[in-house]
Amino acid sequence: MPVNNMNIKNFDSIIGSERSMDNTLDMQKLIGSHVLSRSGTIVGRVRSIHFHPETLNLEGILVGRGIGMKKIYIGKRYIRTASHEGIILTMEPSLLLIGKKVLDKHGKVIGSVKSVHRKSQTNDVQSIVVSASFKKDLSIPWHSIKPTTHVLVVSSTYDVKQKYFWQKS
Amino acid sequence: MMSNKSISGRSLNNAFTSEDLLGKPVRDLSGRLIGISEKVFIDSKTLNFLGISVDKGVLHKGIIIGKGYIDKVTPHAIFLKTQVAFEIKGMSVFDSLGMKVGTVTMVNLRGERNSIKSLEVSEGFSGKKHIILGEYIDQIGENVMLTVPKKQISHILNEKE
Repeated sequence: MPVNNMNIKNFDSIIGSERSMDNTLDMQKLIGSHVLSRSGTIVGRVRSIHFHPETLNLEGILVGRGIGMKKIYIGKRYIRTASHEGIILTMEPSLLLIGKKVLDKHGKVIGSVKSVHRKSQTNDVQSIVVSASFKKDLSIPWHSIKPTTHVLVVSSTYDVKQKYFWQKS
Repeated sequence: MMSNKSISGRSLNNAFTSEDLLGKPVRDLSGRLIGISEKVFIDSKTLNFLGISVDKGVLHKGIIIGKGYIDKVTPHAIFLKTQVAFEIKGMSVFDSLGMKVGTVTMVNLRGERNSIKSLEVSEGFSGKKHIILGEYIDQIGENVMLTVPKKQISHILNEKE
């Protein structure tokens, strides 16, 4: 299916086994298009597209998330589809967990996600740090968490013991 | 406090009371806060527990949730087994290519079950409306993702019309 709507009569082609131009994506049109997570969360907009300097293969995209928010560089392995309309990822970016509410097994809000510890720079989360007002930060291993779209719920097997700042550890 | 005398005929240690159910936040499968439990419904003949009603605040209509959709009642919240279909209203809809189709203006269910028959989606300023069948929904999270591109949706609609 042609993905490039440019009128093919306006140019000549010099190609070998590569795809014809109307079967490729125009990089200029991709910049500024929105990036969606697997479940439809708007991650941001494409700021730049990065290629391997030797193989010329796509390596990743830099996603801008708005004023005051850190940009995210997302590798090609996490991109599901790309079109001029937008880019859909294969996953939910773990960095978007920051700020989400965390509930204990009884449904009580214990705080919100302060930081996410990942395996190297991948999207695989190892643990999260939960902060609550007047209480010490709490590190919870990821396998004890049931993630949902809006909140994170600590599984029933994990015992959440948060102490106030003035309590001894 | 003095314990109550009992003539129930069996142990009620594992039972929960109306106090445990009422006034608690209700969260669906996606963790979304649906509202606060307001009433308990009990069958007038069998006296079986039927479900709860959830208050969604002054500006929104409440929802009645059957007991089959309740996962667990905990000391601080009531968790549901499912995502409440009515909550999709107002979400953005994206096609399989990531193109925004519009915003959900109405959710049509199959009878009174929590199963989506179709969504009415408005494009916004143009006022153009699409009806998207439930079978074309891929995922529902913060927004709705479809399994097909927008062009195919209009093609399907034309065929149905």
